[in-house]
Amino acid sequence: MISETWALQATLRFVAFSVFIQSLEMIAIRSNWQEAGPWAWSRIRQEFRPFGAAFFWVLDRLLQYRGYFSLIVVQTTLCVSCMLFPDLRLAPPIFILVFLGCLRWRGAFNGGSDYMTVLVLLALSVAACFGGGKITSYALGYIGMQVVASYFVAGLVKIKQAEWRSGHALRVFLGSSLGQTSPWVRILLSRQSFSFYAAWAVMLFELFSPAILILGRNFTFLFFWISAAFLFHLANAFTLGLNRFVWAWLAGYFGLIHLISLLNLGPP
Amino acid sequence: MVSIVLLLLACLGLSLVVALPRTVVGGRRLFLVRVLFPSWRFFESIGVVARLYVREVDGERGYQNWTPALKAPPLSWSNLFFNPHGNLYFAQQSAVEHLVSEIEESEEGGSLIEHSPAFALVHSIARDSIRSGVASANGSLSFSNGFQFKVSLLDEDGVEEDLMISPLLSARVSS
Repeated sequence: MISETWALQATLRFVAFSVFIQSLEMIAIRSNWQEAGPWAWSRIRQEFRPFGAAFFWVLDRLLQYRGYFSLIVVQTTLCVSCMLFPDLRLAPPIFILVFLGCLRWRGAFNGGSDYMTVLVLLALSVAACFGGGKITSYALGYIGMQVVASYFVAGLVKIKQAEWRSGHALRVFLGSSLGQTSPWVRILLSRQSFSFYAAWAVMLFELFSPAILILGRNFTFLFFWISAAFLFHLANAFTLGLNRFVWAWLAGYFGLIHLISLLNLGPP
Repeated sequence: MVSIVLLLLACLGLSLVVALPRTVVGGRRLFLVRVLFPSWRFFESIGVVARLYVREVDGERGYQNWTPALKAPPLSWSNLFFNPHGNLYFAQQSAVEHLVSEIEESEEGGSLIEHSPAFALVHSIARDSIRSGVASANGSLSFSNGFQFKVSLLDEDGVEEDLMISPLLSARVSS
């Protein structure tokens, strides 16, 4: 039986690791968000005028170059602390800093990985603020539910499209639209049968992901499913450059394992 | 058994929601806090791909050729742990796509896209691509030169069409 404490500590450690990587990446591209850079706050701030003067004033103090740099340094420090000494009380400040970072980048810097990072941190923050009783357990379960939903919805929207069912969409996404394709992927994509079978493998994996909530009571099956999901994200990182998704979803898997236990379907 | 039935009902409910015609909830405020409302619709359809091009306008040589402004950095194994420029590339691409949606809205509403923050951001991304040498044969853009950028849409058949071409812009960074 996997304990709630173990699942909570693992989730905290991995989400902190995920945000730690994001923080270092943000520092590495700081020339782009300095005042002379294209993403200067003086340019982005115009988007926030509809939020009202008080909120605008606060954001101006926090998100101009020096303020945002300080926030990232604090965020990095908190993440290192959380990786070494996972403590639920660290989740709310990290959540606030990550959310402010998303605002700094007009809502999100990296789309899906930001969504999962914020979702995990928000659930943990709710547990930290209103913890006790079963709240922490439900927060972890909610993270697990969203992990399953993320695969299932992604599978549903793909199978509706004829271009996905034929394998054409996968060829296009890997081959051109994001532009970072490795040479060996190009060789594989030159075989039409590869993209057809690979597209169906992705769709079927995503569509049958809710079954893990029932079949996950078998530890071997759970191990192979999580390994397959992790490899799927690794493949996306190496072919499309989506490295942040690997770490954001990894943080969510411990919530999923806890959810299986919570539903009383897990290993006895 | 009850859990299995509940799970199947949840899957059915999600399937029905996804099958419904997609309603886009608009508004600037919701756009900026969209990270709180994940949709998980990854790689839904090919659609059109927005592309950003720039060209220098030199007093002596005139209009230069259009050059792609955004260049994806090459992938390596270390990118798994550290991919700052790859992720910046995605953010830049996303900014161009947002400008495309604002242009489509402004055509309906009749407002001037040149006054929008989305235009200002893409303008500065385009200028930075020339200044940093990403999109310049000469490696840098002189302050005395001007430049233009354009946004094109590439459809799934490989046909590319210009959506907008900016007016002649100054290379000097405005404060």
